[in-house]
Amino acid sequence: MPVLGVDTELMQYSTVFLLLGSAVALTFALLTLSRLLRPYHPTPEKEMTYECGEDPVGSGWLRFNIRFYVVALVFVLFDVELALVFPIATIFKSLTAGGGTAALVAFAELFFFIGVLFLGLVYIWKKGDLGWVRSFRVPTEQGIRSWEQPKQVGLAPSSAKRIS
Amino acid sequence: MLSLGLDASAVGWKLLPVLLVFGAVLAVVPLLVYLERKVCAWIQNRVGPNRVGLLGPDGLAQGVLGFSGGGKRILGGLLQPLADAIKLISKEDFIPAQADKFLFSLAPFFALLPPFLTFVVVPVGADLTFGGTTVPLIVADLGVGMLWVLSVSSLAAYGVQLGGWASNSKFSLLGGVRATAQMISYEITMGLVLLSVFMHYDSLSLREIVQAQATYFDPLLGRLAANGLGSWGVWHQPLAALLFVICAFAENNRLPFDMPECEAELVGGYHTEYSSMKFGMFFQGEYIAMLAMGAVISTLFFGGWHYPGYASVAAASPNLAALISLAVLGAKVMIFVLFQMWVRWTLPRFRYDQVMELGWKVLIPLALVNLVVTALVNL
Amino acid sequence: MVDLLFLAAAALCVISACAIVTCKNPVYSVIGMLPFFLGIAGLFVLLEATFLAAMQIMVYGGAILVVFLFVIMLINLRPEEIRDDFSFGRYLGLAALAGVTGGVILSFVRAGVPPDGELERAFAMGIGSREGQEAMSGGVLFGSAESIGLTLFRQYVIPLELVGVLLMVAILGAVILSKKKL
Repeated sequence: MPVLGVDTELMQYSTVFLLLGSAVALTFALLTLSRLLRPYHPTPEKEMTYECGEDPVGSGWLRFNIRFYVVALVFVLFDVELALVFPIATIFKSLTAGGGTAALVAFAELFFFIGVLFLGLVYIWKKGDLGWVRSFRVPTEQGIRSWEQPKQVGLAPSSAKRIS
Repeated sequence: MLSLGLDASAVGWKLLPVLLVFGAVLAVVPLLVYLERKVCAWIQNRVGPNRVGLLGPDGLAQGVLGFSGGGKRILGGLLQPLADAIKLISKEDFIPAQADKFLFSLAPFFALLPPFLTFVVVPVGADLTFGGTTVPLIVADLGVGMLWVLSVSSLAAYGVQLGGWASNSKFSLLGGVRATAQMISYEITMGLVLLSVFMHYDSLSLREIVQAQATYFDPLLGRLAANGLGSWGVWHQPLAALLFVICAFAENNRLPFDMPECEAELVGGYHTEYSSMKFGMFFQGEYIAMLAMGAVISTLFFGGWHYPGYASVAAASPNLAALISLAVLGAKVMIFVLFQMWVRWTLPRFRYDQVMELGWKVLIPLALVNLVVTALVNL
Repeated sequence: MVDLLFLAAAALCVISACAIVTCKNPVYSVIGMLPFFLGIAGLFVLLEATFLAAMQIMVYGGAILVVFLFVIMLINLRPEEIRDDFSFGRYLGLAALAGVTGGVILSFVRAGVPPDGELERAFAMGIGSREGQEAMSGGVLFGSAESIGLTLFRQYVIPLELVGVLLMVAILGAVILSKKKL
């Protein structure tokens, strides 16, 4: 590679910006063209939020299930784990190339790190936080209605059984 | 650009891969839209778009020139993408009155740009040589290599999350939240799979990964063998390849993982309220993401631009070999895109609990097992 | 050129940081953090810490911000519910900010600009002392995943494992905190 005045790694990033710039320019061009060509006749009905043809009830900004938050939080922790294991995985072969204790230490280091996190995964699995369909009981006039968690997990075409 | 004291021709040649990637994506995306409709029609035993063509009774030639070119439609529907584009551009674009206008307009960019940037680190062909200057056909050979793809694709979640939230519609919000949870769940598996891939290739750089697949140690011959298909990553990391392909489907929100936009229950999910070109950006983003994932999968597991006989062609003419390598990568990417379409029109959609349980209870443990096995093999 | 890029990245960081604290809509504040993290990643790239830059985008930009967005969407803070009241505390905060900023600038001015290469050496020393230097001289690119892997393996094995345990505890904590009843 010819010497390019600045650091080559920086030079590499300059082409990244070039591609980013062209992509942004393209989208702006398309949006501007569209803005020039398209009609604009807003009416209150048109600007209404879609809700199956009815007038929308309340705001669309609902509070949603806290499970999504748990998923996101566990995701962050696994992401941090990934960030720490990437460097080790990349040089794993050169660490183990010599064989002997160094190789074993490298393997043990990786295995322990991954294993500890796997324990965490197993814990939330056992606690039922990985299952999306949970059993819960609702008291009604007819007695207690409950939905049981389906026995099979994974791909099996199971549906939540309703026992009343 | 600023004056950098650079060799002008060197800068010029650096533009070539950028133009190549940009042009290829622009040219191929409309074709993919046409292709998807045709493939879908073929699988469902229908005709598909066949009117808007060049020749034939309803063709462009007749409309403009009054020349029908015979009674038969030849390649009818080929101009359908053009018609679609005109429609997308000229449709009225309205933003719901209750929506958050700024974020509503910002979200489509997040849908379009990350897949575009994925191409940055993918080597699209062998090095070209022009008068002593070697031009690597890669936009930027970043030191972080594949990690760039991972970090850029993690930003794609904002498109759906913001799009879903900003619309202030219940369907959009549900779609956006579901999409984000799904994408981040499968991103973990993708990262874990990549760990074993990096371990196998001993490198992060996609350029080096392609090189590693060009030669391999043949245990039967007892020496390094070149040009073998046997060095493809898929033979050494079959489980990783399978998991990565599944994650690619989930990251792109394609069927059977299209929970975020499943029209049967969420109308359109996060892009329910989008119209005109803003919808078009989400739409194009999906096809660019398909292309990008195809390119990454073929580079990681199927030899990238490398093909059997490359060394002998390169010995005769390096540039010819490089041009063939471009076509080879293009063909591999198209095969994966067609595979994604085939799957889309064949499999039914998962239920959401199945999507999440598959991700957390099946794919993540499998990826961890794969990592430990890879580590043991390389011990 | 590098100085210009540094200024651009730093300006991006400062402007978006100001946007984060001044935006009234919490969702906008979170979105403002994205250019901030990208700017930080840019600064890492300028320091040739490319692996850190990628991880900055992946972990902060791709993961932590998503959680922030989830939380804000979850508690569903509507813009009109956010009170906009002038208080004594605000002026106190402004005064403190001005004081700290002035102090930092003053200390830089008094310390003067370090000679060429001094900063680079300082950063190189910071990352891994003798072992790190060896890794660098062994043909491993500084700041790459490989050099960090070597440092993690040679010097920080025990801390790494402790971080693993810490992450596991955090996973348990995340699950337990989200329970209605403990």
